[in-house]
Amino acid sequence: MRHVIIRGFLSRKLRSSLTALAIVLGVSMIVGSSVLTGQIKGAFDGIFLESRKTTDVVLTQATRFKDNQGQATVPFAQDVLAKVQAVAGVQKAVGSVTSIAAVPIVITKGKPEPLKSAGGAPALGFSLKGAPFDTGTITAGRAPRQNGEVALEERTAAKKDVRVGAHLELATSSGVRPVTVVGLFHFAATVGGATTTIVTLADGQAWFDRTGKFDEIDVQAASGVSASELRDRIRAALPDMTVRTGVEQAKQESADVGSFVDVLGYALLAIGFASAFAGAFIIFITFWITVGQRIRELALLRTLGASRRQILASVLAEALLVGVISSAAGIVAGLGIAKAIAALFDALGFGLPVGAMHLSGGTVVVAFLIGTGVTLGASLAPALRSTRIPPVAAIRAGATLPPGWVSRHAKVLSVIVFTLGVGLVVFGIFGASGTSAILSSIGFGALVSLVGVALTAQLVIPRLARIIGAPGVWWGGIPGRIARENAERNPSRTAITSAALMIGIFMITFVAVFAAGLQKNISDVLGSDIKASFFVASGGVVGGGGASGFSPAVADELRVVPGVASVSPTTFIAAQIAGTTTDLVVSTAAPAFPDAYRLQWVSGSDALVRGLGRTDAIIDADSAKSDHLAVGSSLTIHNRAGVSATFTVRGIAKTSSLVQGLLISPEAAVPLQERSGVAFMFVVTKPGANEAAVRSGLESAAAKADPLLQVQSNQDVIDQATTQINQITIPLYALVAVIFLIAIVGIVNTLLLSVFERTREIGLLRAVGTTRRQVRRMVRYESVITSLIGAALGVLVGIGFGALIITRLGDIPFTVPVVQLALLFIIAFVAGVLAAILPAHRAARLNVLEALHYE
Amino acid sequence: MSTITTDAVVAGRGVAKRYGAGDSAVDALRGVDLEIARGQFLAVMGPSGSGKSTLMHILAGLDTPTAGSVQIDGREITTASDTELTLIRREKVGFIFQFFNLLPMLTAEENLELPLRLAGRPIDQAWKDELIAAIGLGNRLHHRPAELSGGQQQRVAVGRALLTRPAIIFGDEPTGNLDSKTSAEVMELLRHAVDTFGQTVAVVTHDPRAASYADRIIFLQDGDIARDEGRMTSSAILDVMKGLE
Repeated sequence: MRHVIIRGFLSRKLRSSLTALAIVLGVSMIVGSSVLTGQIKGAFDGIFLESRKTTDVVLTQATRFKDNQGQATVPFAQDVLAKVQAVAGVQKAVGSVTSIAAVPIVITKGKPEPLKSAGGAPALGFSLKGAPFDTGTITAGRAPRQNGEVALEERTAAKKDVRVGAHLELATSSGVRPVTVVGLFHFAATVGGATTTIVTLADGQAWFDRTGKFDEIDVQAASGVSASELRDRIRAALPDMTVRTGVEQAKQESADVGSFVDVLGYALLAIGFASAFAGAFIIFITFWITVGQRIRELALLRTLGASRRQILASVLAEALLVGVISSAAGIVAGLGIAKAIAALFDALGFGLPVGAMHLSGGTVVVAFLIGTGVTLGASLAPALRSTRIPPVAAIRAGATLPPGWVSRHAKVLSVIVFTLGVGLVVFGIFGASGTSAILSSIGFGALVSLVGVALTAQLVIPRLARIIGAPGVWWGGIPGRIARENAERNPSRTAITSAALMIGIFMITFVAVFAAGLQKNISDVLGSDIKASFFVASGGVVGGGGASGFSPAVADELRVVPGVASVSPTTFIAAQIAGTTTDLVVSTAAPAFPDAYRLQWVSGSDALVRGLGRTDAIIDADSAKSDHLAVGSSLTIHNRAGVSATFTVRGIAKTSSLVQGLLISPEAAVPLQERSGVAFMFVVTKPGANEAAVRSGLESAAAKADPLLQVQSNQDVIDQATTQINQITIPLYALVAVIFLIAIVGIVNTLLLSVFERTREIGLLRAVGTTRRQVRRMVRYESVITSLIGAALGVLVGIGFGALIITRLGDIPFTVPVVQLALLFIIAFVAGVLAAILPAHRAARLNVLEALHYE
Repeated sequence: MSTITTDAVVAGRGVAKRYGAGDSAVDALRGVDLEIARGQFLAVMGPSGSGKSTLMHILAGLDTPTAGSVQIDGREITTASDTELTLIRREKVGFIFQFFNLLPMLTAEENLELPLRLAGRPIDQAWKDELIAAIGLGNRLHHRPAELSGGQQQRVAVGRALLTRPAIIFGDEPTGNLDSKTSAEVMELLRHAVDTFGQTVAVVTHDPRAASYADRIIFLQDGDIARDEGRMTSSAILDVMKGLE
């Protein structure tokens, strides 16, 4: 029996390897994403450990809650340093400051050029800590000592060929200052495209908006005192601070970054699982058709005394063989995929640090389990079907299998499966509570629904084929008609073959619907709520905006530009309502804010904003409802460092993009702000002003104040947002292309098997005068019909699920991205044409006479 | 062990087969009684549609009758489960078909051994060597079926049927796909098996020359046995056939 399995496997080389390819791709995506995630995490671990290797203890401000804007540290008063130095066992303690927006600017021929990566990697600024805490090595010149001196990380400097002695500018949230490069240093642990600048402590405090403050204190232990012992002593002395050993701090920093890497990893893994899932359909249909074609062979085995169990085992053993071989190949290919994805991200501008490649035993086990599990699972039904082959089929030519119980009830079953899947998704969206319950029921529901759609599709395939095949019939005549008939005559086969493409198209449609919603949301907001003509922000409103920040003093420079009616700076503060864990966004509203932004009042009027007092606040309607606040209520909020302030609600405005929490006066915001930089400024022009002239006036005023500032119209912001959305979606689309590849493999496989099955038919067609070209066209049309059916189903399901989830989220509007979807159909069409090449060639090559005599 | 008085390997009683129901029902077999004695070489003849193939399928356990009973080596097969039938096929029955006797991916030798390997039974090497000599395949044992002539393929099928020493070998038009020379070789081989090894053989054929190798010839007409004869010459068989048509 082993002979039969292995020889059979080898005799169906092409089919076996095509089937295997579907699994190889899926497994390699799963392995690739897990290997790459490991590599990135390993690299970050290395970077942070390296940077903390000479530090025994690190102190940072304990924060009340986590900010989702990415600001890791909260500055604290510098007098803490004296208290640390007083702790017994402290050899040396140094305070330092950090900025994530310190951009060196090279002036070439009077034009400022920022040294910043295009991909959005941060421009880091650090104050010099001195020995032993600095981990960089000076490679040229010296460390900065005096005011205005900086050292640049050598790779940062190399971008614009900056050398020691060069005069640059340094832009930070407090303005732009001239600096002199006195040294270059090598930092073993530089992340991706980040730029790094080192300044003196005094400059850092002044420039990074840290006057009298530190971001952290680094401590060296006296000899004989261990790091953990010292940590405990400092903790006892300063209970309000977060105190960690250097290693603990490095691990924490790595874990903070790691959670972002995890999100990336999950996205990649989801695509990997979807690929394996698409592969399952290919395996199922291939085994199903093959069992049908091997009826006589299997029946002969039965007459020779093979039991049902032996037949079952032989089919399953073949699946196992395919599964094991392709899992192994997938693991090897996964290492290549990891490299390819890293290269893809690099090419798109967000280079991630990538450490040594490491394939864990767990990954290998999971890869084998998934690869062989999917193959075995998908071949179970065809294997069971093979046991129903009666021995007498060995004698009767053209014997077909009687439909089993499942086939006879296929319609009802498929509708049940589909309903079950949709039910799970709907439950996940509307009924389940808890993130993991919601996600798992949506995810599992989507899986079940897709199976349901693939099964149910056979009911609509004839109709779909009729519509999609119509142009082919019109254009291709008889071959087009035969192709359409072929696609419809075995609806379940066509449905399942197209399912792999459906999964790929579904994923892209789903993401595209979201992206379109986000985009629509931005244009809706800018179209209806914004009255201002221009925005001014560092790097653009959505290009870094809130995190980078810029000097509020810029407002004075902009106000004097001719044609400007008002300038209103806006700042965001992460806060929580005291005594709760409810996050609340607090934004500032300058008196001119109502001129720039349309507030829809539930209670109150624009006059309220113009006269907003230090303890007055306006709240959005949704927050008012969920936090049980009304006009006249008083509420206390605190920021991450625990600074609190109490406000009285004076007005309630309808929730909108800029009113999602509290609006307070800029004066009231000052004590709550972690830094004084503003996120962006609205510029309102005078009625009848020449907008183009105002814009160029604003641009030159802004450039003088800070070369990183951008003046943007509504449309500019929309364009920038679109670019950003594309930056996330395009790599996702590129990765989903793997599923397209699997889908093409599936169509090739099914068509090859169909051509083989129809050998006599094709021989007959050729005998009555069909040309080779017409035969090829026939196969090509069938392929395109199949792929377009997949696209149609994928788009429908994708839009349906997108609509469901968007409705549930309620934040973004639902729109159909018509252009992208049209593009998907074109891609599906091309996939169909490509998939047809080999089978069409085979069909056209058949010898007429032999084909007619084929038994 | 046998429940019948004569030493019958296969015994069919009142075997009937009806296809369809009501007005459109067709009776392929109308209550055939047939016993095949041990060591007998039986040929079943009859015009197309006489029911000869159906009879053989039922006697071999490949098909079930609408009425009647069939015993192979004393065991009732019409009520046997699939597993029991599989075991009976393994131990008691050998088959030779008109087409598609051999698995294309296995060599001649592997095809020969296949039933024993399926059953997990040991191979009697001396018996195998004797059979290989008898089927005269010599140096082509390691060839695939596609590299063998039709006659060679059929001789491998005969060898395979003999290797398990079954109670009976059924042949379904074993020479239907062969020319007269190779037909004669295959029939001589079967005759040799009956004479030398005492093998019981039953073949369905429409070729009078092939039937002339048999000890006993039954002629079917309209689903029943029309004549039951001893050994005949091919021309005598032809005359009987002409009389039936």
